[in-house]
Amino acid sequence: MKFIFWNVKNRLNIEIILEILKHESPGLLFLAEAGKVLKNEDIERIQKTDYEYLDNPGCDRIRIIKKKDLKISLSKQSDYYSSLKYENVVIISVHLPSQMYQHMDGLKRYFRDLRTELDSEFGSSIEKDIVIVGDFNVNPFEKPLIDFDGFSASNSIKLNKEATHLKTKKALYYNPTWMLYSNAKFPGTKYFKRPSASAFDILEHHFLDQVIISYSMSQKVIYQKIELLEKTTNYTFFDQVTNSIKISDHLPLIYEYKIA
Amino acid sequence: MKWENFQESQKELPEVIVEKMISGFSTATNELAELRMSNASELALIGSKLKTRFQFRVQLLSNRLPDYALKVFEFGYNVDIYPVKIILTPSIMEELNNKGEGLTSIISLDDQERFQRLLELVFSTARFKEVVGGLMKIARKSDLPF
Repeated sequence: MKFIFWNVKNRLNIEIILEILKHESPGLLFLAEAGKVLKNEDIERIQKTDYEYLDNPGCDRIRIIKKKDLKISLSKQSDYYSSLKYENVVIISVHLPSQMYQHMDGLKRYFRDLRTELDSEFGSSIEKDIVIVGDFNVNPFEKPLIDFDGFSASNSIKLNKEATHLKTKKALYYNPTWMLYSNAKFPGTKYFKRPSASAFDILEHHFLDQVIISYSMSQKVIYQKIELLEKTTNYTFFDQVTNSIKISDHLPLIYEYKIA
Repeated sequence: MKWENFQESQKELPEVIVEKMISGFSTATNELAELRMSNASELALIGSKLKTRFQFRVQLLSNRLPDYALKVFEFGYNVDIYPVKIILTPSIMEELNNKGEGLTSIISLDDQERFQRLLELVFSTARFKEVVGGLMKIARKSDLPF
Protein backbone atom coordinates (compact mmCIF):
# COMPACT_ATOMS: atom_id res chain seq x y z
CA MET A 1 0.00 0.00 0.00
CA LYS A 2 1.24 3.42 -0.88
CA PHE A 3 -0.43 6.61 0.26
CA ILE A 4 0.26 10.32 0.27
CA PHE A 5 -0.74 12.98 2.75
CA TRP A 6 -0.63 16.65 1.84
CA ASN A 7 -1.82 19.76 3.63
CA VAL A 8 -2.62 22.00 0.66
CA LYS A 9 -3.20 25.16 2.73
CA ASN A 10 -6.53 25.91 1.07
CA ARG A 11 -4.84 26.17 -2.29
CA LEU A 12 -6.34 23.09 -3.86
CA ASN A 13 -5.49 22.96 -7.53
CA ILE A 14 -7.03 19.97 -9.27
CA GLU A 15 -4.35 19.99 -11.97
CA ILE A 16 -1.68 19.44 -9.33
CA ILE A 17 -3.72 16.74 -7.63
CA LEU A 18 -4.19 14.88 -10.92
CA GLU A 19 -0.48 15.20 -11.62
CA ILE A 20 0.43 13.75 -8.22
CA LEU A 21 -1.92 10.81 -8.80
CA LYS A 22 -0.43 10.17 -12.22
CA HIS A 23 3.16 10.65 -11.13
CA GLU A 24 3.08 8.65 -7.91
CA SER A 25 0.13 6.29 -8.42
CA PRO A 26 -0.75 6.02 -4.71
CA GLY A 27 -3.59 3.87 -3.46
CA LEU A 28 -4.84 6.75 -1.36
CA LEU A 29 -4.32 10.50 -1.30
CA PHE A 30 -5.29 12.32 1.88
CA LEU A 31 -5.69 16.09 1.73
CA ALA A 32 -5.93 18.55 4.61
CA GLU A 33 -7.06 22.16 4.36
CA ALA A 34 -8.67 21.23 1.07
CA GLY A 35 -12.03 22.84 1.72
CA LYS A 36 -15.15 21.38 3.15
CA VAL A 37 -15.78 19.30 0.04
CA LEU A 38 -14.19 19.15 -3.36
CA LYS A 39 -16.00 21.02 -6.11
CA ASN A 40 -18.25 18.96 -8.34
CA GLU A 41 -16.14 19.73 -11.39
CA ASP A 42 -13.03 18.58 -9.54
CA ILE A 43 -14.73 15.34 -8.53
CA GLU A 44 -15.76 14.79 -12.15
CA ARG A 45 -12.17 15.33 -13.30
CA ILE A 46 -10.93 12.78 -10.78
CA GLN A 47 -13.66 10.35 -11.78
CA LYS A 48 -12.36 10.33 -15.35
CA THR A 49 -9.07 8.85 -14.14
CA ASP A 50 -8.30 5.64 -12.24
CA TYR A 51 -9.28 7.48 -9.07
CA GLU A 52 -12.41 8.62 -7.29
CA TYR A 53 -13.33 10.95 -4.45
CA LEU A 54 -14.36 9.16 -1.27
CA ASP A 55 -16.93 11.04 0.78
CA ASN A 56 -16.29 10.74 4.54
CA PRO A 57 -19.15 12.44 6.38
CA GLY A 58 -18.21 13.50 9.88
CA CYS A 59 -14.65 14.64 9.16
CA ASP A 60 -14.26 17.89 7.26
CA ARG A 61 -10.56 18.25 7.97
CA ILE A 62 -9.51 15.35 5.74
CA ARG A 63 -10.49 14.75 2.09
CA ILE A 64 -9.80 11.36 0.52
CA ILE A 65 -9.10 10.30 -3.05
CA LYS A 66 -8.72 6.58 -3.71
CA LYS A 67 -7.89 4.27 -6.54
CA LYS A 68 -11.10 2.92 -7.97
CA ASP A 69 -10.04 -0.71 -7.70
CA LEU A 70 -8.84 -0.41 -4.11
CA LYS A 71 -11.06 -2.44 -1.77
CA ILE A 72 -11.41 -0.36 1.34
CA SER A 73 -14.21 0.44 3.75
CA LEU A 74 -14.99 3.73 5.40
CA SER A 75 -14.53 3.40 9.15
CA LYS A 76 -14.82 5.65 12.20
CA GLN A 77 -14.88 9.41 11.74
CA SER A 78 -14.38 12.36 14.04
CA ASP A 79 -13.76 16.08 13.73
CA TYR A 80 -9.99 15.51 13.70
CA TYR A 81 -9.53 12.15 11.99
CA SER A 82 -10.94 9.97 9.26
CA SER A 83 -10.33 6.23 9.18
CA LEU A 84 -10.47 3.45 6.61
CA LYS A 85 -10.02 -0.30 6.72
CA TYR A 86 -7.80 -1.91 4.12
CA GLU A 87 -7.34 -5.65 4.43
CA ASN A 88 -6.62 -6.01 8.16
CA VAL A 89 -5.04 -2.60 8.56
CA VAL A 90 -6.76 0.47 9.97
CA ILE A 91 -5.54 3.59 8.16
CA ILE A 92 -6.23 6.80 10.05
CA SER A 93 -5.61 10.22 8.58
CA VAL A 94 -5.40 13.10 11.02
CA HIS A 95 -5.23 16.86 10.97
CA LEU A 96 -4.64 17.82 14.58
CA PRO A 97 -4.96 21.20 16.31
CA SER A 98 -2.36 23.80 15.33
CA GLN A 99 0.58 24.73 17.53
CA MET A 100 0.06 28.31 16.34
CA TYR A 101 -2.88 28.56 18.72
CA GLN A 102 -2.05 25.99 21.39
CA HIS A 103 0.62 25.78 24.05
CA MET A 104 2.72 22.62 23.82
CA ASP A 105 1.37 21.52 27.20
CA GLY A 106 -2.14 21.88 25.84
CA LEU A 107 -1.23 19.86 22.78
CA LYS A 108 0.25 17.15 24.95
CA ARG A 109 -3.02 16.92 26.84
CA TYR A 110 -4.84 16.67 23.54
CA PHE A 111 -2.51 13.91 22.31
CA ARG A 112 -3.01 11.95 25.51
CA ASP A 113 -6.77 12.10 25.06
CA LEU A 114 -6.49 11.24 21.38
CA ARG A 115 -4.33 8.21 22.12
CA THR A 116 -6.84 7.01 24.70
CA GLU A 117 -9.64 7.46 22.18
CA LEU A 118 -7.78 5.59 19.44
CA ASP A 119 -7.00 2.73 21.82
CA SER A 120 -10.66 2.59 22.73
CA GLU A 121 -11.99 2.88 19.18
CA PHE A 122 -9.47 0.78 17.25
CA GLY A 123 -7.75 -1.44 19.81
CA SER A 124 -4.33 -1.88 21.34
CA SER A 125 -1.17 -0.98 19.44
CA ILE A 126 0.17 -4.41 20.42
CA GLU A 127 -2.72 -6.30 18.85
CA LYS A 128 -3.98 -4.23 15.92
CA ASP A 129 -2.33 -3.14 12.71
CA ILE A 130 -2.85 0.61 12.63
CA VAL A 131 -1.14 3.28 10.56
CA ILE A 132 -1.74 6.95 11.26
CA VAL A 133 -0.75 9.60 8.74
CA GLY A 134 -1.32 13.30 8.75
CA ASP A 135 -0.55 16.75 10.03
CA PHE A 136 0.20 16.21 13.71
CA ASN A 137 1.21 19.84 14.16
CA VAL A 138 4.12 18.89 16.43
CA ASN A 139 7.55 17.46 15.63
CA PRO A 140 8.38 13.76 16.12
CA PHE A 141 10.67 14.62 19.06
CA GLU A 142 8.27 16.84 20.94
CA LYS A 143 6.66 15.82 24.18
CA PRO A 144 3.10 15.31 22.89
CA LEU A 145 4.41 12.54 20.65
CA ILE A 146 7.14 10.88 22.70
CA ASP A 147 6.06 11.18 26.31
CA PHE A 148 4.61 8.26 28.22
CA ASP A 149 1.51 10.32 28.92
CA GLY A 150 1.42 11.67 25.36
CA PHE A 151 1.11 9.54 22.23
CA SER A 152 4.12 7.34 23.13
CA ALA A 153 5.59 7.04 19.63
CA SER A 154 9.15 5.71 19.54
CA ASN A 155 11.96 6.58 17.11
CA SER A 156 13.10 2.97 16.65
CA ILE A 157 11.47 0.06 14.87
CA LYS A 158 13.28 -2.09 17.42
CA LEU A 159 11.01 -0.67 20.08
CA ASN A 160 9.64 -2.43 23.11
CA LYS A 161 5.98 -3.27 22.76
CA GLU A 162 5.18 -1.34 25.90
CA ALA A 163 6.76 0.96 28.46
CA THR A 164 6.23 0.93 32.21
CA HIS A 165 6.05 3.91 34.53
CA LEU A 166 5.36 3.32 38.23
CA LYS A 167 3.76 -0.05 37.43
CA THR A 168 1.51 1.43 34.76
CA LYS A 169 2.03 -0.09 31.32
CA LYS A 170 1.43 1.62 28.00
CA ALA A 171 1.70 0.13 24.52
CA LEU A 172 3.99 2.02 22.15
CA TYR A 173 3.77 3.16 18.55
CA TYR A 174 6.65 3.49 16.08
CA ASN A 175 7.25 6.71 14.16
CA PRO A 176 9.01 6.07 10.79
CA THR A 177 9.17 9.82 10.15
CA TRP A 178 12.44 9.92 12.10
CA MET A 179 14.10 8.33 9.07
CA LEU A 180 13.65 11.63 7.21
CA TYR A 181 16.05 13.47 9.54
CA SER A 182 18.99 12.49 7.33
CA ASN A 183 18.15 15.50 5.16
CA ALA A 184 20.27 18.22 6.74
CA LYS A 185 19.31 20.98 4.31
CA PHE A 186 15.60 20.93 4.96
CA PRO A 187 14.68 18.59 7.81
CA GLY A 188 10.96 19.17 7.69
CA THR A 189 7.68 19.28 5.81
CA LYS A 190 7.07 22.86 6.86
CA TYR A 191 9.15 25.94 7.55
CA PHE A 192 8.38 28.47 10.22
CA LYS A 193 10.41 30.28 12.82
CA ARG A 194 10.27 29.69 16.52
CA PRO A 195 10.21 30.81 19.35
CA SER A 196 6.48 30.75 18.92
CA ALA A 197 3.30 30.54 20.93
CA SER A 198 4.05 26.92 21.72
CA ALA A 199 7.83 26.56 21.95
CA PHE A 200 10.94 28.47 22.96
CA ASP A 201 13.63 27.22 20.60
CA ILE A 202 15.35 28.25 17.39
CA LEU A 203 14.25 25.46 15.06
CA GLU A 204 12.83 26.54 11.72
CA HIS A 205 12.22 23.24 9.93
CA HIS A 206 9.49 21.01 11.24
CA PHE A 207 8.18 17.55 10.44
CA LEU A 208 4.61 18.34 11.29
CA ASP A 209 3.44 15.78 8.73
CA GLN A 210 4.20 12.26 9.86
CA VAL A 211 3.41 8.58 9.74
CA ILE A 212 3.05 6.52 12.90
CA ILE A 213 2.40 2.78 13.02
CA SER A 214 1.26 0.47 15.79
CA TYR A 215 3.67 -1.94 17.46
CA SER A 216 1.85 -4.88 15.91
CA MET A 217 2.26 -3.45 12.43
CA SER A 218 5.90 -2.49 13.03
CA GLN A 219 6.68 -6.15 13.67
CA LYS A 220 5.04 -7.22 10.40
CA VAL A 221 6.55 -4.62 8.10
CA ILE A 222 8.78 -6.30 5.52
CA TYR A 223 9.18 -3.16 3.41
CA GLN A 224 8.63 0.50 4.11
CA LYS A 225 9.60 3.68 2.36
CA ILE A 226 8.96 7.21 3.55
CA GLU A 227 9.85 10.25 1.51
CA LEU A 228 8.77 13.75 0.63
CA LEU A 229 7.44 14.61 -2.79
CA GLU A 230 9.68 17.38 -4.06
CA LYS A 231 8.58 17.52 -7.69
CA THR A 232 6.55 15.91 -10.42
CA THR A 233 6.89 16.33 -14.17
CA ASN A 234 5.25 19.74 -14.24
CA TYR A 235 5.24 20.96 -10.65
CA THR A 236 7.90 21.75 -8.10
CA PHE A 237 6.95 21.39 -4.45
CA PHE A 238 10.44 21.98 -3.11
CA ASP A 239 12.85 24.39 -4.73
CA GLN A 240 16.40 23.08 -4.29
CA VAL A 241 17.93 26.41 -5.24
CA THR A 242 16.10 28.55 -2.72
CA ASN A 243 15.73 25.65 -0.26
CA SER A 244 12.05 26.46 0.16
CA ILE A 245 8.59 24.94 -0.16
CA LYS A 246 6.39 25.97 -3.07
CA ILE A 247 2.65 25.74 -3.83
CA SER A 248 1.50 24.92 -0.28
CA ASP A 249 3.43 25.62 2.92
CA HIS A 250 3.65 21.86 3.55
CA LEU A 251 5.39 19.20 1.49
CA PRO A 252 3.47 16.08 0.45
CA LEU A 253 4.49 13.04 2.49
CA ILE A 254 4.65 9.62 0.84
CA TYR A 255 4.56 6.36 2.76
CA GLU A 256 4.63 2.88 1.30
CA TYR A 257 4.56 -0.39 3.19
CA LYS A 258 4.29 -4.11 2.77
CA ILE A 259 3.47 -6.36 5.68
CA ALA A 260 3.99 -10.09 6.09
CA MET B 1 -34.29 2.66 64.43
CA LYS B 2 -37.58 2.61 62.65
CA TRP B 3 -37.08 2.89 58.95
CA GLU B 4 -39.52 4.83 56.91
CA ASN B 5 -40.36 3.38 53.52
CA PHE B 6 -38.03 4.47 50.81
CA GLN B 7 -39.32 5.60 47.48
CA GLU B 8 -37.74 4.67 44.17
CA SER B 9 -36.69 7.72 42.23
CA GLN B 10 -39.32 9.00 39.84
CA LYS B 11 -36.67 10.52 37.63
CA GLU B 12 -36.46 8.97 34.19
CA LEU B 13 -33.07 7.47 33.48
CA PRO B 14 -31.11 9.48 30.89
CA GLU B 15 -30.57 6.42 28.68
CA VAL B 16 -34.33 5.86 28.58
CA ILE B 17 -34.80 9.45 27.48
CA VAL B 18 -32.18 9.02 24.77
CA GLU B 19 -33.68 5.74 23.54
CA LYS B 20 -37.08 7.37 23.21
CA MET B 21 -35.60 10.33 21.42
CA ILE B 22 -33.60 8.36 18.86
CA SER B 23 -36.36 5.88 18.10
CA GLY B 24 -37.79 6.73 14.73
CA PHE B 25 -34.52 8.15 13.43
CA SER B 26 -33.87 5.19 11.14
CA THR B 27 -37.32 5.53 9.63
CA ALA B 28 -36.69 9.22 9.07
CA THR B 29 -33.59 8.31 7.05
CA ASN B 30 -35.28 5.57 5.02
CA GLU B 31 -33.24 3.03 6.99
CA LEU B 32 -30.03 4.42 5.51
CA ALA B 33 -28.69 5.63 8.84
CA GLU B 34 -29.29 4.83 12.47
CA LEU B 35 -28.46 6.22 15.88
CA ARG B 36 -27.33 3.65 18.37
CA MET B 37 -26.71 4.06 22.08
CA SER B 38 -24.25 1.75 23.79
CA ASN B 39 -22.54 1.39 27.14
CA ALA B 40 -19.05 2.84 27.28
CA SER B 41 -16.35 0.18 27.05
CA GLU B 42 -14.10 -0.53 30.01
CA LEU B 43 -11.22 1.24 28.30
CA ALA B 44 -13.41 4.21 27.45
CA LEU B 45 -14.49 4.41 31.09
CA ILE B 46 -10.87 4.57 32.26
CA GLY B 47 -10.01 7.38 29.87
CA SER B 48 -13.30 9.23 30.08
CA LYS B 49 -13.46 12.83 31.15
CA LEU B 50 -17.03 12.36 32.36
CA LYS B 51 -15.92 10.67 35.60
CA THR B 52 -19.34 9.18 36.17
CA ARG B 53 -20.35 5.69 37.26
CA PHE B 54 -22.64 5.02 34.33
CA GLN B 55 -21.65 6.06 30.83
CA PHE B 56 -23.09 5.74 27.37
CA ARG B 57 -22.39 6.96 23.90
CA VAL B 58 -24.57 7.65 20.91
CA GLN B 59 -23.14 6.90 17.48
CA LEU B 60 -24.32 7.51 13.96
CA LEU B 61 -24.11 4.30 11.93
CA SER B 62 -25.34 2.78 8.70
CA ASN B 63 -25.99 -0.89 8.02
CA ARG B 64 -24.83 -0.28 4.45
CA LEU B 65 -21.40 0.80 5.72
CA PRO B 66 -20.63 -1.74 8.45
CA ASP B 67 -17.36 -0.14 9.60
CA TYR B 68 -18.60 3.45 9.59
CA ALA B 69 -19.25 5.17 12.92
CA LEU B 70 -19.40 8.74 14.15
CA LYS B 71 -19.74 9.48 17.85
CA VAL B 72 -22.33 12.23 18.24
CA PHE B 73 -22.10 12.56 22.01
CA GLU B 74 -21.37 10.68 25.20
CA PHE B 75 -23.12 11.08 28.49
CA GLY B 76 -22.98 9.75 32.00
CA TYR B 77 -24.37 10.06 35.51
CA ASN B 78 -23.95 8.79 39.04
CA VAL B 79 -26.42 7.14 41.40
CA ASP B 80 -28.25 10.38 42.02
CA ILE B 81 -29.01 10.36 38.26
CA TYR B 82 -28.89 14.14 37.88
CA PRO B 83 -26.90 16.12 37.03
CA VAL B 84 -26.24 14.22 33.81
CA LYS B 85 -22.96 15.09 32.11
CA ILE B 86 -22.51 15.27 28.35
CA ILE B 87 -19.59 15.67 25.96
CA LEU B 88 -20.62 16.68 22.46
CA THR B 89 -18.60 16.20 19.31
CA PRO B 90 -16.67 19.50 18.98
CA SER B 91 -18.21 20.69 15.72
CA ILE B 92 -21.74 20.38 17.12
CA MET B 93 -20.74 22.13 20.33
CA GLU B 94 -19.12 24.91 18.31
CA GLU B 95 -22.28 25.44 16.29
CA LEU B 96 -24.45 25.60 19.40
CA ASN B 97 -22.04 28.00 21.06
CA ASN B 98 -22.09 30.20 17.98
CA LYS B 99 -25.83 30.43 18.63
CA GLY B 100 -25.12 31.62 22.16
CA GLU B 101 -25.63 28.43 24.15
CA GLY B 102 -22.44 28.95 26.17
CA LEU B 103 -21.67 25.25 26.48
CA THR B 104 -18.51 23.97 28.14
CA SER B 105 -16.54 20.90 27.05
CA ILE B 106 -18.27 18.86 29.75
CA ILE B 107 -21.88 19.96 30.03
CA SER B 108 -23.64 19.39 33.32
CA LEU B 109 -27.44 19.39 33.23
CA ASP B 110 -29.44 19.42 36.42
CA ASP B 111 -32.69 17.91 35.28
CA GLN B 112 -34.53 15.92 32.66
CA GLU B 113 -35.99 18.96 30.94
CA ARG B 114 -32.60 20.54 30.34
CA PHE B 115 -31.21 17.20 29.13
CA GLN B 116 -34.04 16.74 26.63
CA ARG B 117 -33.74 20.32 25.43
CA LEU B 118 -30.03 19.92 24.75
CA LEU B 119 -30.56 16.68 22.84
CA GLU B 120 -33.19 18.38 20.69
CA LEU B 121 -30.74 21.17 19.98
CA VAL B 122 -28.02 18.66 19.05
CA PHE B 123 -30.22 16.74 16.63
CA SER B 124 -31.39 20.03 15.09
CA THR B 125 -27.94 21.40 14.33
CA ALA B 126 -26.95 22.03 10.75
CA ARG B 127 -23.81 19.98 11.39
CA PHE B 128 -25.75 16.89 12.46
CA LYS B 129 -28.14 17.21 9.54
CA GLU B 130 -25.26 17.69 7.14
CA VAL B 131 -23.45 14.55 8.30
CA VAL B 132 -26.64 12.47 8.26
CA GLY B 133 -27.36 13.73 4.74
CA GLY B 134 -23.85 12.83 3.60
CA LEU B 135 -24.07 9.39 5.14
CA MET B 136 -27.46 8.74 3.52
CA LYS B 137 -26.05 9.74 0.17
CA ILE B 138 -23.15 7.31 0.23
CA ALA B 139 -25.22 4.59 1.87
CA ARG B 140 -27.74 4.80 -0.94
CA LYS B 141 -25.18 4.49 -3.68
CA SER B 142 -25.64 1.09 -5.21
CA ASP B 143 -22.19 1.16 -6.76
CA LEU B 144 -20.36 1.57 -3.47
CA PRO B 145 -16.65 2.05 -4.14
CA PHE B 146 -15.67 -0.38 -1.40
